[in-house]
Amino acid sequence: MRALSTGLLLLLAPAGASWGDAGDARFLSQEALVAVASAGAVVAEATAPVWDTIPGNEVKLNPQHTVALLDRQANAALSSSGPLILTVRAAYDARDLAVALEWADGSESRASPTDPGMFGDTAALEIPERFGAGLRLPYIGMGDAAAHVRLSMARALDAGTDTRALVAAGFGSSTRTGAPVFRASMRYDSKRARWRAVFVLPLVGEAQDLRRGLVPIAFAAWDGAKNERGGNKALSRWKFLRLARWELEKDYLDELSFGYGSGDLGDPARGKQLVEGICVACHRIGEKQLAPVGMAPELTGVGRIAAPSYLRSSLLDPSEVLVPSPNPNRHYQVGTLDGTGAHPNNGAYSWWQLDPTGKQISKMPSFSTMSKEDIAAIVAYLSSL
Amino acid sequence: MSKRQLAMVMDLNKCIGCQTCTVACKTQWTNRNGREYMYWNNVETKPGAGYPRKWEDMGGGFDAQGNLREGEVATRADYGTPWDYNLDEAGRGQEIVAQSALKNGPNWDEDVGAGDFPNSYYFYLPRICNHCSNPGCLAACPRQAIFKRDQDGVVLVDHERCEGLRYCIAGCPYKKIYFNPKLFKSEKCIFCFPRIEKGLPPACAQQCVGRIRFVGYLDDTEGQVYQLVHKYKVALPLHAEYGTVPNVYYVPPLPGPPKFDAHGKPIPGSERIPIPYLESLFGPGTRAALATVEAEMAKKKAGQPSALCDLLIAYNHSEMFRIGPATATGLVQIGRRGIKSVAEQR
Repeated sequence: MRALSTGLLLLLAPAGASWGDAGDARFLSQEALVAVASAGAVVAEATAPVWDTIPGNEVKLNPQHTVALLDRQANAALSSSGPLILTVRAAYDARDLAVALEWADGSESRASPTDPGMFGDTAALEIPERFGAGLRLPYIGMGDAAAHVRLSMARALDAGTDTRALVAAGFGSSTRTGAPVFRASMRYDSKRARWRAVFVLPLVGEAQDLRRGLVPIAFAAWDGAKNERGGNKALSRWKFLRLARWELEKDYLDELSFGYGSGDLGDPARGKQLVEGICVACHRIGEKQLAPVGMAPELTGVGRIAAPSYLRSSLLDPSEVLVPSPNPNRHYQVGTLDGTGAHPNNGAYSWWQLDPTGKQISKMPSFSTMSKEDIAAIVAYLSSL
Repeated sequence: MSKRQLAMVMDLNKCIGCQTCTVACKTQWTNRNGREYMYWNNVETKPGAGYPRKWEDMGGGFDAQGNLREGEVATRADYGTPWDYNLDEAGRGQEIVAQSALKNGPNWDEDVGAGDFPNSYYFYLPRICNHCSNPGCLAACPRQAIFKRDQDGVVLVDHERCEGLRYCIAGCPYKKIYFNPKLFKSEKCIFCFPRIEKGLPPACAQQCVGRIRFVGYLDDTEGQVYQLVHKYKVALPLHAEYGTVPNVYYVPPLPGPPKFDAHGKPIPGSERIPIPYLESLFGPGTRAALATVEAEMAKKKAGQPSALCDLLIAYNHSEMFRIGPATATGLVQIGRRGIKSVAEQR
């Protein structure tokens, strides 16, 4: 990567007036991350000085609130966790895409083969298996059954880095794909109290082809000192790597930029009224804790991780993206026992049910009968959370 | 959740704290490969902090509404780190000294108990996984990697799905599931299922010199486990209020010899082990269970027959262990509850 091409900020904003509208431009300026085209081969070493020469993009990671987990220490830390600022640097050569993540962490935590209580600091990338015009984005939280994601994960060990390549179709489903096809390294700079993790993925992988103008990508980081692992993590919304070697697809950009144009979203004050009158019966949202824990996905901070287009479609067609229920054994029916003395699970906490044809559908009713204005208002409010 | 349920009864009046069960388990399962610190079976002194230290304060299990409760993941300090002695040097005449600072261990407060001399008291509480009917570990796993075998309700970890997240440890209120940091997987007492499949009892029960352990199916009305639990109601679950429906039952210890007054005279009818303390462990059935055992013991003393006393004397292993004939072996037979991996769905 010594021979960095210098015309870096190519085509961040659309060049011609025929291209898109203000929404597209706003979407790109907020969500696109510039990847640098490198004439030489990209490097996977987190210690390589070249990483300091590539411009960084700031991405906010927010604590995962959607699914409540049960680790007391992790939950105590969660309530006081603010956003984590991730600096993302990306570069690509003819064969590989390299992504370097940097974040502040006051404590270097490494998983130990002799200590059952240690959690290693970890970072991961999430990229849809398939993406482009006409393909909706996978659910941000580990994908969904109809739209899988590929994950590249690196965890700090006592000695070295543990790398895992995973495929996932929702919470709890991630499955190793075999030997990682990516390379990764992690380095903790104790003077600056910062981690850097570098991932190098092939542009054409087993299941993915990243040779596109916009590559959806999301990030997660885990702080071992706060017992973070699994669902206790900080995650970003879908961001988009801009690889200038390939064209921006206008259709795709138009689909993604919903919610970024001036007319897309409604009145957030009206949305707040509606959300607090309707949604809070099942969803916990910030200080609105009326709903039982686990009754439905918690919406605290949802606007920081969910795209406006997803929020809209989840109101109009909640079964389009089925968010998998967490472990159904977390809630049982008191006062009832089956033949061997076990309490049966409490189905009220399941997030989906079967329709008469046996198909899984979301328990959330569709709000498609609501006025366009009200839907837009709710999306506006949820996006602001 | 399973079709049948194996259970164990432990008669605490007969436990002498010899740790033979602990050693039987350790040599069979946990003396190697990242499990060195684990005691799938341990014997702790009660009252006492137990193993891991203060496990009863670490949460997990279910609340009164049937919702999984928050819990803690025990740390290395809670378990105590195994230590070595300078045995090579000691063989050459040096004093034996530990090679690291001793701060905690698996039986750290053995025989300490509670109360002031001459009215101090303690008893032993052997603990294995309770193979609960509603396991907290199973409910806590975000990956649904823990399951109950259909044929006997034994709770096992599917290592293909376990990713070492350790929510199970927070979810188990008994802290009887452990993290193997070397293999990066959770591991636990497996009720010696390979032995069960051969018609043999778990190693801890087989080796128990006090013959305190009975093993059998809870629906086997001829079995001694059923009789102790359901017919005589003298065997009670530990901390049933944790809401996991545990399947290890205990005959609570009798309150012991009477206490002494200030002049050293026995106080007739006094309870050396406070019954409310026993109730805090074994629940509201404790008094009735103790009364039944005492009444049957009185019968036996008076030369009258007592089927319950004969049962608790534990004459024959063949009656104590009703496991049935050998069954099909192997994890492939277990019908695991694990979710399909994405690869399988594709």
